[in-house]
Amino acid sequence: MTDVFHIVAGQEISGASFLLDPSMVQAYTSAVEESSPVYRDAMLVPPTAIAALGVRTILKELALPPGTLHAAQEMSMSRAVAAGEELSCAAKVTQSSQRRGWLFVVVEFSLADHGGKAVLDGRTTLMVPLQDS
Amino acid sequence: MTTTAEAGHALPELRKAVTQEQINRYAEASGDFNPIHLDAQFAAASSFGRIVAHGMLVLAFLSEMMTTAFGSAWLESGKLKVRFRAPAYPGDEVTTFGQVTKLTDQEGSRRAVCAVGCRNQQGEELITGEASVAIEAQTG
Repeated sequence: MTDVFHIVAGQEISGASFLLDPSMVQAYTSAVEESSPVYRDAMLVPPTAIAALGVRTILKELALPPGTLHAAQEMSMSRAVAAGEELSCAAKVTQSSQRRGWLFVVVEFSLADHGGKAVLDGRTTLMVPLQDS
Repeated sequence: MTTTAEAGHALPELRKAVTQEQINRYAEASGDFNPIHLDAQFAAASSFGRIVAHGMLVLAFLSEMMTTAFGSAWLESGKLKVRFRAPAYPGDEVTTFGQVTKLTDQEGSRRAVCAVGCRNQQGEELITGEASVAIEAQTG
């Protein structure tokens, strides 16, 4: 695990794989009250679910303090992803800077399928409270 | 695709009520147990003064609007860039908004570019940004 307060731009975050377990996907679509038939009928996974689970995998490695906020999000989808697929995650910190009592951390990540082909790329900006450091 | 891909066309608006129960379920589903979303005492000491919903929960509403508007093309080719400007609180009603701003040709495909976001019941913008999606080539 990496201490977010000592992270530097360019630092890679150890990759991990995660399974888009159908029950987990169902719990997600239920929680966000996603009603589009494309997810229900074809068992596809909402892009925000893929991103959220990918970001969770990454952030587990950063030991973020409570109260961390999500400031911005970018995502780019390459193909639809079905429940049951396993994705691998590669991520890198591209920015780490302090401003007005917050540490701003930008993480770029790429989620790939079993064959190594990218399915979703993203960029997450976090605001980490410095008073908790 | 259910939305007419013409500049100026409005995307279908969605309204969602945010509840603490929903936030709790989202925490379980996403694995994000940050106490600012779940612990009233912790959240009271934060800059917001009370519990706030996960930004990605509110972003899911916006993504649902894009799926409603563009169908599976959103899953296959969508791009999204947003800022979380203000939080949603339990009890808020969030409304998504969006409008096709232009059509562009990129890497051999035509894309609909949309200004998108979410507002609360006071009209305050919670999320703003841009989304785009590949659309079928228009003929005629």
